[in-house]
Amino acid sequence: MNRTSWGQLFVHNPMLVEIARFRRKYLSLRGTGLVTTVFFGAIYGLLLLMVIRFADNVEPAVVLYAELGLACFIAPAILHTAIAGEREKRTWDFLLVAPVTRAQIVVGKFIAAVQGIIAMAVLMLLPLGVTLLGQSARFQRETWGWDGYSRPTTGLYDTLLAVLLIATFAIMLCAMTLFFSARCKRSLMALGASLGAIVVAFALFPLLTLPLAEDSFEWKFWIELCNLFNPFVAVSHVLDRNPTYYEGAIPAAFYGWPQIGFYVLATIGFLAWAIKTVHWPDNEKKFIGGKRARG
Amino acid sequence: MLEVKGLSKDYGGLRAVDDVKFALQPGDVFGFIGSNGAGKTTTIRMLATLLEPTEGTASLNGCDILDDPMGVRRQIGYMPDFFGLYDDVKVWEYLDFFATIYSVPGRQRPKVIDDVLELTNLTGKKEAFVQTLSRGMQQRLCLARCLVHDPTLLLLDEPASGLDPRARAELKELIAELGRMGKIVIVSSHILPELAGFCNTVGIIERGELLAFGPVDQIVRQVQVARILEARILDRAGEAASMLCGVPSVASVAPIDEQKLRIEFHGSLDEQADLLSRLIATGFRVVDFRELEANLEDVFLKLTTGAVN
Ligand SMILES: Nc1ncnc2c1ncn2[C@@H]1O[C@H](COP(=O)(O)OP(=O)(O)O)[C@@H](O)[C@H]1O
Ligand SMILES: [Mg+2]
Repeated sequence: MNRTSWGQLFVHNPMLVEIARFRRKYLSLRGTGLVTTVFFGAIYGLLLLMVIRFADNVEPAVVLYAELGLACFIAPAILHTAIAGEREKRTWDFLLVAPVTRAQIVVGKFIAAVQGIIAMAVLMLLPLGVTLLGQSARFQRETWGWDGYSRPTTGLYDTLLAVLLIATFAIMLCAMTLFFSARCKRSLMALGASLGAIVVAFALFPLLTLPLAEDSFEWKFWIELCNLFNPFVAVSHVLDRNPTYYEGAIPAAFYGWPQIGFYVLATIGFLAWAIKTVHWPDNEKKFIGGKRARG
Repeated sequence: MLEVKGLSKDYGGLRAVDDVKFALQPGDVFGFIGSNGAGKTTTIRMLATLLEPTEGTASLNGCDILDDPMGVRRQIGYMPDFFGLYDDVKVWEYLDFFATIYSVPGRQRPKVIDDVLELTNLTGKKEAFVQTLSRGMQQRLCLARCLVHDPTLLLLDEPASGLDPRARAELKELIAELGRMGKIVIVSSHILPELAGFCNTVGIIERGELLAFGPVDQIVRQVQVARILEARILDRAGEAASMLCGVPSVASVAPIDEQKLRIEFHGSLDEQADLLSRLIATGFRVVDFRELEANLEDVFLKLTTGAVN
């Protein structure tokens, strides 16, 4: 990608005004915004209270898994209407006749959602920090206490790596939902497709396959390979770098940066595919585009 | 200026728009008339760069819709026949959103928004939420949205449908004002009287073909194959009728009542004068002899029922 088109998409993109619209839509005290603001405010408040109350018993992992779980449905929830919903509401044509490219439209919506994801990741640093402090207090007590036994603690680097991994995973989910939203006729179909893909790939499949890896040694490697990019598996390995004994077929070092790289690539792939898919105006007739006019 | 050069659109085997050609100058308000399914929306969507023409193209002030759609998009305001508005946004936020997309500089935006609100008579609704507006106001807001970037061509697809008479009158006034501002305005409708008042140019489309195009009065004249004359003769109207039947340029004569005759005539104005002299010279007592003014509605009905071609 050359510099001008990079600037066109990420700096001088008029569609970045979507950021303000997203904020008004999901983080405000009107209409849908009121519901989402109260809902996420409540979840965040509860998490924070729990972490502070039980500071020396809650592992950082709990906060990280909560964040990961939230991301799995926040991304589809805020983006499934992004394109399909505009087609349904017949507002889509207004964007297509505006002097912006299809790529600018998709990237504008994507960045608006990514801002939300980043905001969530930043907010989550607070409860995460509390658990880290609680953990080090506990570590000192247990190490110098009477039994000399201590549970393993999570390092700062590994925690931040997990935060980054979760954020890139959530960003990939945004790109994926945007792709389904561009593809599907109805926004509910886009929501179903996104949630379905997430549940099947990252919950059902590992739940069905991973227990098999325990039983059969021949399959172990392949099953782990199939779940290599599962963020829940990856986070568990990142947080537990030096387990007392490690039985995995794939070395623990393969969890962390490889997943982050994969999610970034998948994000780019989904975005490119979504942009290619945005051919249809409201009434699903193909409009000027492709070779003749890069519109 | 807008030049439409042989636009055609096929949907599978169906030719929805067939070789439509016309040109418009700044200030033209063009009434695009056709019954449902005639191809108005398809033509307008091609001009709006939303649909790819099967054949032909169009250009607006030198920008071709196929080669430079971005250049065209910067210059057009498009109002679809059916449209929606975003929920939970205020009127000014809605306009601000589109002004940003059209790259109106930030400093000018508040003034531009105030201007278009005033033009569309929505100033009092600036802080209102768009979903609380009436249908007529939403229509005007949509038009305001089309105007934030000061376009040279406005494409309004059936803008008056679903409006009450009052909202309709306001919309007409607004469209006429846009014409006076020097914009090219294309307004489509399947209801003729809606357009007759304020368009200076009309085009009649039927089954994808542009059957007639030009200034309103010219079209009316051009299409009138036979003019309709009405004569009122105090007595012996029947005799007069048989006499008139013998005149070569009279196509038919039909009595309306005891005194009135309806004469279908395709002679020149000279011949028309001769006809009257002849009636009087023969001794008929003529009290009224006039041409019935054909209006756009007649023209439309005549064209679309295939009386021409
Ligand atoms: N997406 C489509 N696929 C197939 N045929 C279509 C499509 N859209 C419109 N048509 C047909 O094209 C013709 C013109 O339609 P349209 O331009 O919408 O007419 P109008 O706007 O004058 O009522 C109609 O016969 C319609 O059925
Ligand atoms: Mg139509």
